Amino acid sequence: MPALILKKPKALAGLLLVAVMVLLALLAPWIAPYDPLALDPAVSNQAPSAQFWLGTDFFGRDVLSRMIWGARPSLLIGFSSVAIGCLIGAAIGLAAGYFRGWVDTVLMRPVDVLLSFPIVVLALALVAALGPSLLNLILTISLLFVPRFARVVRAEAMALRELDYIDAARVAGQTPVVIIMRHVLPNALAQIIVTCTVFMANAILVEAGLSFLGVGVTPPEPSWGNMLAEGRNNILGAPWLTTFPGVMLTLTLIGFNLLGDALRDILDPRLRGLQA
Amino acid sequence: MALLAVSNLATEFKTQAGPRRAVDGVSFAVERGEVLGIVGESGSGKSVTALSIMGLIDPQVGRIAGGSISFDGQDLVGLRLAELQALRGRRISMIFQEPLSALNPCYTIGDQIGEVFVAHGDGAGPATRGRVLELLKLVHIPDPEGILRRYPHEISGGMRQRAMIAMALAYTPDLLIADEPTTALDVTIQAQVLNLIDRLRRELKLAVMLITHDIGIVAQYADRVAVMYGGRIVETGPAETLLIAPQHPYTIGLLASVPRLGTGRSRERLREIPGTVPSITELVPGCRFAPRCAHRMARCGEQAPPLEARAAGHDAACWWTGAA
Repeated sequence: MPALILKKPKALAGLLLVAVMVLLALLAPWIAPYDPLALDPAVSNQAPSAQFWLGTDFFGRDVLSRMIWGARPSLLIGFSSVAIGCLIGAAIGLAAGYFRGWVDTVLMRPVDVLLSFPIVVLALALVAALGPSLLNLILTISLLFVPRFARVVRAEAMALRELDYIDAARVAGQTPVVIIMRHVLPNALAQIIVTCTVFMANAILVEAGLSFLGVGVTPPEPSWGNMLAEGRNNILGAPWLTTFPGVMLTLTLIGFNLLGDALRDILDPRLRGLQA
Repeated sequence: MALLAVSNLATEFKTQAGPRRAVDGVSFAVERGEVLGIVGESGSGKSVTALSIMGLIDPQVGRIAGGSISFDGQDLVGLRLAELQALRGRRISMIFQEPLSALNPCYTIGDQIGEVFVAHGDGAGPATRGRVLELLKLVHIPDPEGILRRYPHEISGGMRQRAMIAMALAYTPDLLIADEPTTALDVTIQAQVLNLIDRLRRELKLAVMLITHDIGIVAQYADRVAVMYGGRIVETGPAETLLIAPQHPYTIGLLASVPRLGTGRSRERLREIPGTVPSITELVPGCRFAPRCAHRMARCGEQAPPLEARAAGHDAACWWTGAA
């Protein structure tokens, strides 16, 4: 499979973009040229220069350093909320899709209720109620993705349960839990992985949106969302304040989407080899 | 007492028009070491009968509405899931029509057969591996050690069906239900697989329910035959007499539609039975075969004929007695 990724230019581009962002986030303390929180009124609102590659903001903080540090909350929140959402959502989806009947009804009606709220409205309400903190952000965004994962995995489980090898497993005397874990889950895994990468992009976007609205990562901690919000007032006077975090955000989302597309093609044997 | 005695089994499914019976009052018995062939067209209810015995009718869409399925003295209808699970794979096994889709693509053949032992609490380990190897040898798989490590897509259809049979035989069951076991296979492989089932039946004293739409297979491998049509058994009897002296017009039609070589008939146009099997939602009063029957009488459309003895152990459900 790794070989297959390398053969597809789009897949490779996606993988590289994601890898670069992850490295930036992990190595921030070592590669950021300045302290992202250090104020220096003497160099307020400077345009990009040899000293400050991407310029400085109103408080004289280095935009490049803030941008590198800003990758951390985005990716941390993206990864952990997708992981939590996937774990709970997949469990709900597997049970509902495999058992159907009343189990399906009991599990999926709350899911439908959650799905009926627009993402940002629900997130705003939850964060406002819980108070902005990293943990609350992760929990809120996880909750947004639980019903979405549940829907996708339930559909997959419903298709898989009709297959002969599930009947064969039942005929062999295996219990429902074993059948779900050993026969349904492994065959739904490809779909789950692809869904994870696509939802990762969504989760990062939601985090950026919440930070932009002021209920996400709280200043002075940098995040791409709140950097955009701060730079917005002076978007014509100091365009570098909004341009660079915006570009980072866009590149990250493109990276995850390209990777998701490629994984879908690679993990689905029917599509394998169709697209160069 | 027969190992498996099905009496008056009725299995119904939910349809737009309300519950409809796909199996309607079916009774038969299978003894140890005996092959019962169940023949019928698609939609005749033969597979639903098998699924009912295994307890695999999806409660979302259907249920067993009546009758009893007595297996070794125990009624399987209404048995709790845990009790069924203890029987499945251990005392009753089933093999399916399409071995590729009946094997999980994620596991090697060895792991997959080993799963049956794990399901019944025997754990995985070197001992299980040895037992799996034994099973693969029992079904005459060449190079069993190699096949053990293969994935289903890496081996041929015949090998897959043998692996399925090996899986079904893990605990030497009393009853093997084979639902169209050779429909997806080449003719030469078909014979190999059926000969294998026949040999195992004799060596292991298996009772076999051989479900097929191919009356030729039944002629060769079954001791007794039950012909199903529209969810009912229309004729049943010992294979020899039923195939030589069929009593029901449907059986006669089925036999006439089999091509034969070298009997002078080979150049004749094959005879088909006009019409199609009624769908489950169609309510056919009286005999369900009547609309397609050449010997239809006024009575056929009003009253369903009961199964009545025509010879020793040979029953037919038909008002017309002209065949005798």
